[in-house]
Amino acid sequence: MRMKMFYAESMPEAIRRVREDLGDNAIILSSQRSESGRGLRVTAAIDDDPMAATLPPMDQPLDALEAIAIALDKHGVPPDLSERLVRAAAPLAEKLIRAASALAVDAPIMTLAAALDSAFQFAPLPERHPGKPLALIGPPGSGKTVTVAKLAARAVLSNRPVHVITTDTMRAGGVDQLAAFTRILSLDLQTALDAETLADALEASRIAGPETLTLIDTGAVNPYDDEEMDELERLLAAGNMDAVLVLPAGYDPEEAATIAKAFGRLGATRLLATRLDAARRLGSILVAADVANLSFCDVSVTSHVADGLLPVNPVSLAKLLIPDAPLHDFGDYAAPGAASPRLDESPRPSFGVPFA
Amino acid sequence: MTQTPPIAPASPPRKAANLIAVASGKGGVGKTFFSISLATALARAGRKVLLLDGDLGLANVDVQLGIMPPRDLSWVIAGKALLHQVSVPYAPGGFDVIAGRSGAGGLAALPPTRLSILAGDLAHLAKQYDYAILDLGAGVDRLVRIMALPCGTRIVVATAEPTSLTDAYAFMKVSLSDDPNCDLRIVINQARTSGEGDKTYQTLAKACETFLKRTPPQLGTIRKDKRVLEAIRAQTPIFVKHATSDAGMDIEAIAARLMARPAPTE
Repeated sequence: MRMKMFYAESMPEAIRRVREDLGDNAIILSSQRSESGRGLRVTAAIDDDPMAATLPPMDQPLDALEAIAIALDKHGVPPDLSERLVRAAAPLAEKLIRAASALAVDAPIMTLAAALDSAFQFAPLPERHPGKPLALIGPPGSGKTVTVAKLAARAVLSNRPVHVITTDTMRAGGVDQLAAFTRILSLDLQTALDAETLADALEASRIAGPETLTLIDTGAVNPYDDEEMDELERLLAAGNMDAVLVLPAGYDPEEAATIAKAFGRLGATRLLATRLDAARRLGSILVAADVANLSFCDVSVTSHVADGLLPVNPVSLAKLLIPDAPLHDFGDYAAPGAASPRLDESPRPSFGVPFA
Repeated sequence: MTQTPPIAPASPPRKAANLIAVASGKGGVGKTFFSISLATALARAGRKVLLLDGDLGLANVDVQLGIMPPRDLSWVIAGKALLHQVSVPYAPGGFDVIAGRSGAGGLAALPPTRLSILAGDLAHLAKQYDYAILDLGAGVDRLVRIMALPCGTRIVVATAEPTSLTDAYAFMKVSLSDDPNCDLRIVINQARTSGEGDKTYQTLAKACETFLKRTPPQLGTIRKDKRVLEAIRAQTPIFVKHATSDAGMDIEAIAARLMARPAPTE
């Protein structure tokens, strides 16, 4: 409804001006003598938007923001973080609404991407450029060793020299597992027992030249065990390196937050999320990056060494969070070709290519 | 096929006859002040009253009451408490309060599914009270619409400002679209005289009558009163300080009208 006040000398004049301004369907809501004592003050209104057109039905997301809120809730993102993201997405969503493309197919994804871009840092692992040695750290079973193997394979494929060091000497078979991978890649695997030998190994790496990608696989550390954490801290102090927290998707968000904080205190600056193929709720990953101020780098989407490590940017992360499904079908989305019923009806994360 | 609940309520939450939504469309017309005063007036008349701050984006019932409750609605939304566990007695007013939380707490980002669960819980909790008053947020977004669904009565607070009238109308239009049988009442706030309040009501009523084919009745007019501002500044309900002020008496009359109404059947 548009409402407007008119000041006129007489009622016929007021009616003429109301029609001029608001059209023939306008009605006069009230009229009274003008405060100045001369003439009339007339309030008129018109409601020209048909009800159906102005009100989207209740069973569809109202706009990109609501689609984002629904998605974040499904992923178990804690309320305060999802509120921040929704608020960060609001300016772009508003622009889209004004451009009348609020529910264009990818509006929620692009809007969420903008919010993620403002709320998080994205720092892909250096592939071809020289960079500091990368130490992969994380809780037990997070996929550090396989990730080292994947990073090594990726570098080998792009003809970059690789130096692989492992400090994972305590776990039975820890070295063997990585050795099996490095043999396939025809790489030497250097073992470092403690901070001192790690420092020596890093020195060798430095001499090999800046083109060499140095990868350090560390042993699993219980983030709640002070002794183990102190030991890891000493290792990380052995040289100039970037610590990457390897964290599997699927943790409880609060647990993930505590773990991320613990490793963040030791100097982790990046988060590499693994097991994205085996999890449907990514809230823990967002929380971990948020509370420990970690930059997103790559994510691992399969356990195959040869592939499945994908760099993350705001758009690809948004696509993981909001699957390709039509939004109002969010609940019972089945992947194309999925023949057998799945245990969990949540949508599969997707980079736009179907997950086999 | 799936156990996942649909995004919007498949069937709207059950209505609670004694759950009263207070809405305004536009902010800053005295909606929260009215909610608090109405809760106080009903409590003074011996009724058991709950006031819930449903302004999920910019909650400020707690600020106007000058309380800092240990728990609030954000606890419920985070899954740390149930709705009835976060209500706190507000002794000066003689009613219970469930505070919202301004600024942070994930309230504005709550998806519709969870909002409708919250709305349903509120309707359930209302059964333990004679009246439950829900102070809704400004605007007519999905959040406001879902929270209003279980309310047996919707009171729309408006002032003579054209923007307030337009936004109050928008709320009523949305209300009738979501719930064609909803019980809408209009309260005119900050009127210079009760005659002027009646005129403002008639202006709004005529727009409803013409465009919406419904004429929501006038529940009352609250006269402009400088003691309202004093009470808000002192963070106390107007009755605690100025029981016999113009605004106080007007709200008392509104409460009496609400109580005189036969209990609506569902």
